[in-house]
Amino acid sequence: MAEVPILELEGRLVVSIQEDLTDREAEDLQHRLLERLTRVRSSGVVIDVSGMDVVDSYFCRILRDTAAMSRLMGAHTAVVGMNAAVAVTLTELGLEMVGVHTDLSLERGLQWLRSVTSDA
Amino acid sequence: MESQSFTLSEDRAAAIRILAGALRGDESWLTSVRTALTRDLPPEVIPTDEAEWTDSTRESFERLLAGAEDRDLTAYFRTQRERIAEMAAADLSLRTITRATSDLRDPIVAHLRTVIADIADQRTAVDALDYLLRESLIIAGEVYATEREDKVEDEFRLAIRRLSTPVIQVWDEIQVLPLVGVIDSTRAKQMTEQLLERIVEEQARVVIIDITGVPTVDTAVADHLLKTAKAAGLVGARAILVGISPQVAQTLVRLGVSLGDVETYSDMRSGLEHALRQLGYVIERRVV
Amino acid sequence: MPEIIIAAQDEAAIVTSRGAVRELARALGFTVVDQTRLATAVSEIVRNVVLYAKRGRIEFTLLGERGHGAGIEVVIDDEGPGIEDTVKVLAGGYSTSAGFGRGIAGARALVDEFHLETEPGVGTRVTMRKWP
Repeated sequence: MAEVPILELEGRLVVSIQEDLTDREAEDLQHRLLERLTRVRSSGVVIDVSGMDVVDSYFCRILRDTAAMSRLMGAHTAVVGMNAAVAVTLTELGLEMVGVHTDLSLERGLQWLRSVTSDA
Repeated sequence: MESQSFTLSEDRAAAIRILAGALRGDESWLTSVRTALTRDLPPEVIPTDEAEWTDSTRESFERLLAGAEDRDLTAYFRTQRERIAEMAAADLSLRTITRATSDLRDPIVAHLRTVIADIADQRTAVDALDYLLRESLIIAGEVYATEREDKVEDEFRLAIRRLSTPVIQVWDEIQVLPLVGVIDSTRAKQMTEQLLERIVEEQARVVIIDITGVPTVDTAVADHLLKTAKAAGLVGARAILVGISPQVAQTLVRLGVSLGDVETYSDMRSGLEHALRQLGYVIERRVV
Repeated sequence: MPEIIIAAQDEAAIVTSRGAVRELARALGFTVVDQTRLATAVSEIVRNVVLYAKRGRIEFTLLGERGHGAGIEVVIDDEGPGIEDTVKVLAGGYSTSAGFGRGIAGARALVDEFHLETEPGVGTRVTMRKWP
């Protein structure tokens, strides 16, 4: 089973998914991400899905749940890098990414995290 | 075209055998041909490795010989067609290919005159060569006609798609999409797909969709617009709807349509002002 | 005669069938977004089968031209519990529950033709067709 690496950048956790994941790999990622949040007091998480050609309802649920779980643990989550085809398909499926900030790129995701966690 | 067959008469097959025999025996012609080709064709087409080029030329040659034996050059010309198609796909011009093909003639004819003693056989071999070159040129013409056609058709379709959904970059990170005419589900799909591509391409943060030119805005149209706004949101762009006339406002409320949290304004100016403000711009007027 | 047949026995089949249909669609000249739509639809249905049915099968067949070219037919068969209320399911009535049938309404929106045959206690067959 491929383990998607979890990196730390500017005190935030960054996950870059380079290919379609099996359900088990997705669940494992969620688990490891939350574990990491307990060990590293991180202010935010960016999940980069630009390597994914297909994002279905199941994976959407994993993303939404992960964001909600991270929030309970004190971290905001940004899901970034959906390509145009995936974005259009998800809306046609009627899926909503409630509670998840979605953005264009890793850079933008980090920018957003900075803006929501700053005290100004 | 591809199923064209090249069966040979006995005379022609014999002529090609003479030609092949002359070229096979003494391979000095390979160097002069390579010089001619390197002069006319870009390096990507001629392998820099001379041995590799020699091998592939020899292979092609063997195929020619086998074809002559069978009195059928269909397989040989099929490979020629494939090679020419590769060059066409690599954007080589037809003129380049034509020039290269004609430039092959001189070095090979010179070689034939040297190695073939019998004048009649010389003439036969040159005829065979001309036949091969001529057929290759005809194939090149055909390939370019279809290849270009496909390319032109694809580019055309792409251009039409883009023109149907004219997204304008009005400021850094602000795009405007003016919609004119009826929005049915097909048009809505195309619009959403095109818009999303442009948002991602130009990294827009705000997209102002102007519906002034849309005659009817009912539940279906509102649903399309809402879906488009949601898709834009998934890639980090906020959609603002402008051009809401009093009639449209009344219809939407009476139908109980909700546009969610999509900002709406009656005019472009307001939409633009809000877009700029959202991105942190302050507009200041200096008295002239 | 189906071009490709995949057994839907474990979750690996979801990724496999998704990738296979995407490749097929790409080869037939579908736009990227249509490739994604079709692959997503297949993913939704196959997951249903893998999670809730005992055994299943996915078949891909090429279809005659319509519009811009040849199309793809995906037939997903299973020997699962079947669907009790097809009307509700097709209308997206199960979208908030975790049960079998979820994803069917979604997949339907992504393809050109969608057929659902089911018999409770016996199994289900979903047929989807899409053209470029």
